[in-house]
Order: sequence, then C-alpha cells, then structure tokens
Amino acid sequence: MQASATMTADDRQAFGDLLQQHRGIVFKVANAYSRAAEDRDDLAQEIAVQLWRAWPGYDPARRFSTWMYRIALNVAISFLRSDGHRRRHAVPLDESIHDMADDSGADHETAAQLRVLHRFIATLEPLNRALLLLYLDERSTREMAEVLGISESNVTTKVSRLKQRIRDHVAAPGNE
Amino acid sequence: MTMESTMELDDLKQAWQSLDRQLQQQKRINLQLLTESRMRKAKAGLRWLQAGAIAQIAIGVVVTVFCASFWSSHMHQPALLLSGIVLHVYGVAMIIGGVTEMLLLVRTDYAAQIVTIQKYLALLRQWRIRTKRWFGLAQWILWIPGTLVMLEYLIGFDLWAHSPATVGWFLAVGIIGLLSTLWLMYWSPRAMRRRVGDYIDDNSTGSLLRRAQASLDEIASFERD
Repeated sequence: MQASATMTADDRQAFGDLLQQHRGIVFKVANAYSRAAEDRDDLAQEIAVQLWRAWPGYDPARRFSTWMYRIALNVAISFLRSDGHRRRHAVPLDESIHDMADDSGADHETAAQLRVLHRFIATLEPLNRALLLLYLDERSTREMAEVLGISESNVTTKVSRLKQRIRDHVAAPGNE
Repeated sequence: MTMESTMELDDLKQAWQSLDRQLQQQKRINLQLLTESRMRKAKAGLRWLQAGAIAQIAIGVVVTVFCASFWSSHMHQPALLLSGIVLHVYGVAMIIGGVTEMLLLVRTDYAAQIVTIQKYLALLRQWRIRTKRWFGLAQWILWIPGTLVMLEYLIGFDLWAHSPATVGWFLAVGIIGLLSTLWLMYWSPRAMRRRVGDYIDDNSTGSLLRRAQASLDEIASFERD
C-alpha cells in the first residue's frame, strides 16, 4: 500500500491504461465469483484496489494479463471464502443469472448457453471455477498452469474432467 | 434431445466471448470509480487493522518482559512463580497472534500463484481461528494468575501465602466456567449450541474451523492429478 503511494504520475497513467485495456478480466472474474449485484461491484472494486496495491511489484517482463488474472482470482476466491460474503452467497440468486444473460443483449440461443454456463459455474469449487474461467478465456495450458500453480499435465487432466462434468450437468434433469 | 443436452464446453466458449464483449461495455461496474477517495478509505481501513495488530504485539511484549522479570524474582514463591510463567506464556502467545494478523494483513501477495496463496491464507485462517478460540477460553483461568501477580506487584500482597482457600475458590470458579463453556460449545444439544453461537461467536460451533479445513482439503485435492 505504501509503495503505491509513491508512484509517479507516469506509473499511474501506465497502470490506468493497462487496467482499462484488460478490464474485461476484472468483470468476468467478479461475475463468476459473485451473484448479487452489490457483491459484484464490491468484488470488482476490491480486485482493482488489490491490483493497484500490487502494481509497484509488477515485472513488465511478464504478461500483464497473467499477473492480473492471478490477483483477480486470488482476491475473488478469498472474497468467496470470507464469512460475511459467504452468508450472502448462501442465498441462491438465480435471477441475477437471467439478468446477466438478458443484459448482455445476446440472442436467445446464446442467452440459453450463458444460463447453462452460469448454472454450471455456480456448482464448481472456487479453484475449478478459476480453471474454467481461464479455459473459457482461451489461455494456454502453460499460462493456466502458471496462474494456478499446478503442472501443465494436471491442467490438461482437470480440463478433461471439467468437460465431462459439464456434459453430465447438461444431461442432468432440470438443467436443459 | 435438445440443443443444450449435446452442449460441449468448447461450444460455450463462443457464448462466453459474447458475454465478454458486452461486459467490456457495461457501465454498471465502472473502474473509474477507483478514485483517490476510495484508495484513501482502503488505506485508512488497513491502517486501523494494522494498528490493532501492532497494539496486540506491543502489549504482548510488555506482558512478556514484565512477567519474565516478575517470575525470575519470585523463584521461591511457587504460586507467584507459576503465575508469572503462565502470564509469560500468554504474552508470547499474544505476540505470535499479533504477528499472524500482520502476516494476513500486509504479507498477502495476491500476485503469487493461486494454489500457493490460497493454501497460505487457509492455513493462516485456521491458525487464527484456533488461537482466537483458545485465547477466549484461557480467560477463564488467566484472571487468577493475573490477580495474584498484580496484588503482589502493586501492594506486595501474596494472596496464596495468606489465603490459599481464596485462590482455591478462584480456581474452582475458573474451572467450572471453563468446563461450562466447553460443554456449551461441544457437548450441549444442537439447538442450544446454535443459540450460544449467536451470543458468543460463530467460532463456538467450530464451523469456521471446518470451513478452513475444507478449503485446505480442496486445495490439496486440486494439486493432485
């Protein structure tokens, strides 16, 4: 936190530009790890604050998106596990899934797919949710392994399992 | 069979990308809200939490130093020696608890790999819950050596030497209180335990500990192929 206070105007500008360029990561993670609108906003803000705090330690030789994913996912998982938010998450907020699909202005088929996807995401454990987000975002196996801290072969195995899980999820009664 | 029942994960990538495009334009979550005032608020909140942890460490150091000098100068008065040592240990535990809090507050490197940082956080959370619980329970007994030490230090009155029966009564009250709390926490009927949990803390039901352990188990299972 202190380090960020000593940032120069150029640093702030560089950070602001990169954050703006990759803000989709913040939104996607916030949406995947929270359902209530107020939680989503809180989480997006918390991720942005933690990115700002960690910015002085960012190594420009590394990919910004990888660094950003690590922070965003770590903050989101901690947010999900924190007691105060867990109580709110205990209430199913299915309507927000519909809101999201409707808000996206997607066609009917895409909206239906998004609903299925969000229902599936809601069933996943926090770490598998992180893996799925990275996979959906077409990150390479290597980058996924690097963000998560597991081996590339483990990533491949887990992605195969996720594929099977979504098949089972879709085939289960009530999920069509 | 519907379209969705044959859906594969890769098919959903496209839907995800369309959501991505829409989210990029969404105004509802506006990162421009990350203003200086928001940062100042976050910094102020952190400073208060850090101040609390620093105060705990400082009090722990004072208790440790004071008790070390106290018990070393009362080597031939067993009750005072034991009281001093017990409070000394409590002081050290306070320091460790404060340092753990500080680690949670300032040393959490969210840029680290997810499995690494989540494991670290879960372990610290587990440790914090355990120490909080034991610190709370210890109060039932700690007030007794505290009273003995303070009476001797402030007015030179050795309560144990003058009235061991009083100390015995103190101990009986402490032990009954401790056992009653343990009973309420672990062995009482579930409904009563829930009500007690509302009054004391959710910690009393052990649910926070179970959650921390579940997080650790989940991480361990995720790390395995």
